[in-house]
Amino acid sequence: MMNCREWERLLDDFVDGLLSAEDRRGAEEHLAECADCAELYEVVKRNRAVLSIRDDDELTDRILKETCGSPCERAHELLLQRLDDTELNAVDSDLLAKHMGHCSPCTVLAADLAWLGETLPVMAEIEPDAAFTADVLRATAEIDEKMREPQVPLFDSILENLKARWQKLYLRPRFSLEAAYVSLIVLVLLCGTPISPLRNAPPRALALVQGGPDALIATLGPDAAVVVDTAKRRARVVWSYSGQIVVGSFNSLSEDIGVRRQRVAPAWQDLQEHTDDLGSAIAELDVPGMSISLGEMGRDLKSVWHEWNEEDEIEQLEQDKLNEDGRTAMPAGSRSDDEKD
Amino acid sequence: METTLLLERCRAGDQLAWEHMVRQYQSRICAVAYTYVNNTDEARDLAQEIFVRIYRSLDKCRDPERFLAWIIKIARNACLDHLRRLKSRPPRHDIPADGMYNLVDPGPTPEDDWVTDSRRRLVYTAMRSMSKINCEIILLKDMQGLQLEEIADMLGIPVGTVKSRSNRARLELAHAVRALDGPSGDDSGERRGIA
Repeated sequence: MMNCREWERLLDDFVDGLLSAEDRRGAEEHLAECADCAELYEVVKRNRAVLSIRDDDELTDRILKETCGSPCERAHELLLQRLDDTELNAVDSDLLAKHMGHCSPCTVLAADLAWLGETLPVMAEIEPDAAFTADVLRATAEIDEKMREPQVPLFDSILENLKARWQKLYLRPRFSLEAAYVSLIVLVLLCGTPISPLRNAPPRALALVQGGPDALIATLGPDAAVVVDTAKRRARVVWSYSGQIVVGSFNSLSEDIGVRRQRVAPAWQDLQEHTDDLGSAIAELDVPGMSISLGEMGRDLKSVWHEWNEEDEIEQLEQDKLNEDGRTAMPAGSRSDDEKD
Repeated sequence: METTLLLERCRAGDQLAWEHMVRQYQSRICAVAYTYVNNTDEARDLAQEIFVRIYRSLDKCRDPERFLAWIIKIARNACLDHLRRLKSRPPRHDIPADGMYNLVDPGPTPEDDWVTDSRRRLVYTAMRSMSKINCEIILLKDMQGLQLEEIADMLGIPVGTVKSRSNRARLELAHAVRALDGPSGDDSGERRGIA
């Protein structure tokens, strides 16, 4: 016979109809004899709708929200750990499995993460088309060729660079204006302010220029006298030498002109005569005479020109001949060099 | 062949060694370039430019043991430079607003496109909806398999930050893939082409 304590222990399963046949028979016998237990049974049975929320996930969620918060975050953490090939301990593994038994979003996420874990490493490589390697090798070979080209020394390249920059700078239209500004500023800084290093230079230079060589000797001492004497001597030598050159050139030019004038004189005489003939023909309105005179004058002018330049033309012809001889002689020389090699 | 020896040969100007190196790493470099630009032609040109950069910088690789991280760093820098150039360059021609609706995007032909696999395409599409940093972490850690320290060095952030961001990025990507692939349950594997 079942006592009250034993009956209370089986009460929930008795109400839910989960007892074995033997237990159920014992519970029913005790219920028929015990009024207190019968009353408790009625109460429990009446409120079974309330008591049966033991498996309601919504209630679980509400409780977790009020207490520790959503367990899904911890589940995600464990899922990611498992994805990183980190072995979960038995408790974590068991808890995660139990959670996923109730939480469908986490189950779906676990499937997605597992799928990504398989797919992403495969995506580390994409095989390009067959011509790709050849294109890369061609591009890098071009670099090799450039590297093999003779390199300009660093100093020379810097010099070239500076030269190019300088050219670019001074070709600008405003360069002269800027240069004037800069020069003025430099000049003022050097000589024009009370603290400039060369502030006494301008008045002293002016005094020296106005005083002439004597003032220079007086200012700079006996050594300056030697310098001035030497400069005077050299100036005299240079002057006389340049004077000789100028006079000599003038004389040779005069002689040359005299020779040319003598050579031209007959042709010049003819030209004058034919000019007179042309004047007469014009006066008499003799058109054939005019044309004949003009033709003669043309021929005369041509002879004058040739006579005047006769020597120059001969020199030019001789020079041309020499050049031509040199060109025809060259291959023979080079052939002999080749043969020597 | 061992990377150290291969690198040494390449530095000495051995063209066969360089060819071997290009063949060994070209698919990785192409994958990195494609992830950044999402266009086969652009990625191809960019990958070629990356190899030229690598070739020029071979002498600067100090640690051959971390050669993969080194070339991926060069690739990443080249890709970011490329994207910056694109951003700063104005469009060549203005397109009239009326004409915009008539433009037809022919899209890559199946023969020309590098990414023909449906699941890869799904991931790339999902990655486009993610933030730039998370996308890069997915690329560097989950695709290329770099170490956390190497990624931290590359991105200039602490290792702990890389780790936490990596977790967030994977969750974000999983949600993005789920959003694109629809609320599928057990049949998701089949729909994504998992063998």
